[in-house]
Amino acid sequence: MKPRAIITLWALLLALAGVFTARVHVDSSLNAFLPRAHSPDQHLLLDQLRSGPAARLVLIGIRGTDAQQLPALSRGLAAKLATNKRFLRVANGSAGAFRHSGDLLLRYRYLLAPTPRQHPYSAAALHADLQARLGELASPASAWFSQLLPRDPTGALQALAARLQPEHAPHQCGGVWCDEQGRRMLLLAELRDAGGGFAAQAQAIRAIRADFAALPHADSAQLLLSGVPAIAVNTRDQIRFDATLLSVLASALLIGLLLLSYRSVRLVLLSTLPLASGVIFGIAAVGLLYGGIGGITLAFGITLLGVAVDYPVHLFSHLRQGENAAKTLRRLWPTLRLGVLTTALGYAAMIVADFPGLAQLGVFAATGLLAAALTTRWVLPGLLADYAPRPWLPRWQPPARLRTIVRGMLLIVAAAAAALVLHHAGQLWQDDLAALSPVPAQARALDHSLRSALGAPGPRMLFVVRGSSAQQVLQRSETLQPRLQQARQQGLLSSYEMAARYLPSVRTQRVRQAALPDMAELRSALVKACKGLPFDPATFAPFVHDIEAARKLPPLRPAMLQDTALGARIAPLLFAQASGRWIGLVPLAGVVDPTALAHWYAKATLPGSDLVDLKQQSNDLMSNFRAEALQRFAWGALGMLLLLVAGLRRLRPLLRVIAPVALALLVDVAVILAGGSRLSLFNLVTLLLVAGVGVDYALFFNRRESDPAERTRTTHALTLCLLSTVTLFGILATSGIPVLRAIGMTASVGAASTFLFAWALAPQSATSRQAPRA
Amino acid sequence: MISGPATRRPFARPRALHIAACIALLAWCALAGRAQAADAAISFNRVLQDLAAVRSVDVPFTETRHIAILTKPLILHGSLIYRRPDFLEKKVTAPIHQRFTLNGDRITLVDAQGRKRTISLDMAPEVSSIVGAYRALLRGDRKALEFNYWTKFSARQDHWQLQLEPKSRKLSQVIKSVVIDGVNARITRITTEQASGDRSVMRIRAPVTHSG
Repeated sequence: MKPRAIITLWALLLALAGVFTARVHVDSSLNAFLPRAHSPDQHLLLDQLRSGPAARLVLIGIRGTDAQQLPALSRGLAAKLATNKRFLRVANGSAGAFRHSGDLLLRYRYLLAPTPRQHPYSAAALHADLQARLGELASPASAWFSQLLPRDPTGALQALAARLQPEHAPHQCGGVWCDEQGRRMLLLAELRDAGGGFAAQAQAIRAIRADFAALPHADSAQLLLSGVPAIAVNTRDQIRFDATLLSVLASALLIGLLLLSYRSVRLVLLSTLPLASGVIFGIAAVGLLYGGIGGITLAFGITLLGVAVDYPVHLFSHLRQGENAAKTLRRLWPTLRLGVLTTALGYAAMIVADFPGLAQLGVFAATGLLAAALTTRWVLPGLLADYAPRPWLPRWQPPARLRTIVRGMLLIVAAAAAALVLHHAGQLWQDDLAALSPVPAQARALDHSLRSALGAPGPRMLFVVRGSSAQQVLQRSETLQPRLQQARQQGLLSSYEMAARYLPSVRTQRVRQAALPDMAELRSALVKACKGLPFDPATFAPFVHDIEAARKLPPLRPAMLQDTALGARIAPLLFAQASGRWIGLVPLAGVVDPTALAHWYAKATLPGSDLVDLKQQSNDLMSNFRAEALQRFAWGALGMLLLLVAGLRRLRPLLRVIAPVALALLVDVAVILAGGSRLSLFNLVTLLLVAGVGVDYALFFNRRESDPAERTRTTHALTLCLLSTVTLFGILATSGIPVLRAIGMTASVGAASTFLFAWALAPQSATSRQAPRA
Repeated sequence: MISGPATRRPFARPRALHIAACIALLAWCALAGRAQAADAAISFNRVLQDLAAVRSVDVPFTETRHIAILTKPLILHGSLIYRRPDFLEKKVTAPIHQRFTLNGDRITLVDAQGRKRTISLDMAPEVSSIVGAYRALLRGDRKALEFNYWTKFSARQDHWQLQLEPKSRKLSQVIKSVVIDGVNARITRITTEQASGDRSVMRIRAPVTHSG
């Protein structure tokens, strides 16, 4: 095929892929990078992380210099948000759940409240109740009790209200929630689960900020937002800002570097073609296979394609005066091809991974890399057909002794690195699920401090109650309840929460309803109950009326609680899964000895109720995931090795390629560990890039050169490759975002050490020895 | 979270509890009045001055509560205890046992069954205005007292009377007035009128005081 035809075909394909790429949906959630669940409990855990009510909770703090203003700001913000349809509920401590669903609770109190006495409406039981009420009238709050008494002599409403009060209520300042020191006001806002995903979250966060800014005196105070939605929005904005700023900076530096080296605008422009084509074809491939691409996959993928920046550099640096580009490339191609294939194979190992993020990443990186290589091979020479190169090469050659010295030093460094890695062998991996999220440490610290001030730390142990319907779950929870009371008496736990405590099952409500006496019966019981007490039975007419009304009420069901405060309280504890099955969560507090608790429950388990240790599940999930990722990478490494064996065929050249890459990876890992972090997914993926770059460097350093000038050209090319990689990723390493920093650090340290190792371990002069035949 | 019904049957509306509680506190903090031998009518400032000098008090009381829904008044016996600077306790010993304590900014109520409930004073702004007033009274700080209440002081020789009416509308929806009577050196009676019409009269017997 003629070059012109090839270029036309390529342009056509690129345009097609570009048009398709523009329509590929970029999913900005982290979901694709959450590991896949292997057990129902893990499934539940991940579901909760993705879309559970906890994932829709915005934690709000208000801080300011004028402490007197803060409570008013909290009230003002809560009032504004309460009218916003995006929020299911807003709480700032000023009005409890009780008042919001007050009517409902008042009407249903005799079906919802527990009845501790045997025959709750007998004369004897009522007499005892009235005595207790008399005691309340002796208390300092008698005004409130006396007002309630005619309607509620049994104290059902009080018992119900007591249940609705959170045990770990935050402190109060001026009638609203605040932290212990009274410096920050605290609010909670739960987003309505109306779909819309990230865009809806971003709008809700914007709404909070706008509402706050519009409050009087808002400029004297500062709004702090945390919780999953706020973190997601802020992190994405920050990553976007950092990534844009840093990549503009890096690109400018890179262009400067290339201009300085090649002194040709044309070459600099052409050098972007392979990478750009790689990105476009990569997105198109993932879009075709998966219907969309994760934002993180894309970011990682482009990182992995960083190798492709080197391909045009190899070509440009090897151009000779009077030689056309196609000929130059034919010379380089065997070495380049082996490098490309090896790296692509390494990346492709991820394709078969068991979780979508990694698989997408494999498809993107392998496709993109091949596209970039093919663009370099077939398109660039065509575009350079009429180009007259004016090569410029540095005259300086490193003295031969330098290489020997560096080699010795590098081997010492490698030995030290090996010792360090061995020393950390037990704590190599970051198994904290939270570390998967690209959230800056500062945001995590804010989240933690707001969460603990609100008294809402995530529980570790919980019971999961499953059933085919909400009612079955509620009934099973009620069966579990006496067991939990027993566990509490044994000191295995201090408290628990469950939907059935707020909303008993229909069956229980019917039992309570059946026990309600008729009017005549109740009146005569009241007359007897009042004997010897300073009460007139006629006072309790409202009570008789309410009992009569309660006898005819349809039992309260979860669906009837929609949009009430009580419903909001129950929602995180009782919900349907996509499969239609129902789940009840029973978080436990004050569990000192999880093993003892598990042991106690295992002695007599209840059907449908499982004790789950979330931390254990999350750790299992992470180690499964890590094992899988490592296995993929190991297969990738093996593939790369086999390909190198096939390409190089002889042991010595093979060792000269493998040893520098392996040693450089070792040093890179040691540098990460020495920095005080553990290996995460981000590090692993970037190490893959380092391996790809390293194979390239080593192959070119070991390439058979026809003359010293060619050797100089190779050194020039590789030095430029190294400088561009270190520039790109070194700038990324200055980012405040942990993911970007981890990638940047790992890549730049890795590239530098792999270059040094490859250079130091390469034969003195490839021309004088048997060079690898590629 | 829930801990069992046995340990918790709290007051469902703490604010009401506080307001009522603080009124009671406000009332009996006037107990700290000391003997004043003078032929002329005693002055408000003199009473405040004496209150400020008191170190501790422990007096028995009898309280009669007239509550609309009861067929006869509820009569409580017990004692009131004050220790400088900010400890106050109302102990009911008959017909039931109850203990109500204000220490610093914590309010604690222990009921007949020994169940304890503690709440911080920060719960509501109205409450802190009440507590502020009683503290002002104990400090002898007339300005701070008159910030939240209309005060009316009258005296005839050794008999004096202090009437307090809340200035804020919110507070006056709960409490109509508090009248503190003193005879010579002694507070003899605290009468509290609720906005609902219920009324309590607390008679105090001879105090045991230690001044310093």
